Amino acid sequence: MNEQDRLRQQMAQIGARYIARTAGELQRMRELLQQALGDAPAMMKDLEHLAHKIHGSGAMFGFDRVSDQAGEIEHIAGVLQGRQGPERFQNMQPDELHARLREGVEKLVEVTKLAAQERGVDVNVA
Amino acid sequence: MKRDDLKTVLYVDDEPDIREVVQMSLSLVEGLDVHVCESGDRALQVLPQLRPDLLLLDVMMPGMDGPSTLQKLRTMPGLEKIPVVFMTAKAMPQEVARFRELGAVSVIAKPFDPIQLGNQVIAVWEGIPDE
Repeated sequence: MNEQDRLRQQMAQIGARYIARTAGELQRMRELLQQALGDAPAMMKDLEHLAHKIHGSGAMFGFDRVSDQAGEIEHIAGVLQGRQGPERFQNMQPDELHARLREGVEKLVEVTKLAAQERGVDVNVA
Repeated sequence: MKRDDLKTVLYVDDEPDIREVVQMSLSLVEGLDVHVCESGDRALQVLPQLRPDLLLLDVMMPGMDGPSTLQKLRTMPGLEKIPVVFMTAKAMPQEVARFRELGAVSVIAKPFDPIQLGNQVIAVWEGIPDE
């Protein structure tokens, strides 16, 4: 095995670890969502950061749907903090953005479970 | 810069999986000593002793983010000229322009190809003008 093949093999191993850890972080994401939309709006920044991490690493390890969905959450969280985001979110009212965010988090749970299943990684997400 | 003058790099990222990938990728570059750490704060602690030839910084990190780390570095005597490269998923042209205005010598987009990262870093290094 040459060095590049070894690197690919290691990437697959780290990718499996990533998807397992991401599944474990989704409960935390739900909690951050509740807090951010409830009495702790400052938690939106933490939610955005968690989504950013999942987005960036997911793309690195070939989990494109997980990455894209986390990217969507990151964008919405950014717009809710007053930053410019993709055009499709710019004219939405806060209530609509909140609804999109809730849907987005649940969709991330679904695509993460599916991605883990496809890679043969056992995860336990309610 | 001459390829042979690139001997030590420090990569800073709060995401452990990406740190591991970068360390593995850059370890394929012959003669390159690769160090990693998990935050901008930690980087500023180790930089005075390590004195890397090149600093690779993730942009979005909790606490001190990449741009803040770069700004602080530029005030540290003896370290202020270490070339900095940002590594980010936010590599749209206007953001790249902003990072360059902050003093980054280059921006490497995430996700990157781990097989090619070493070549990308060397290309960035060789593109830095000699003093």
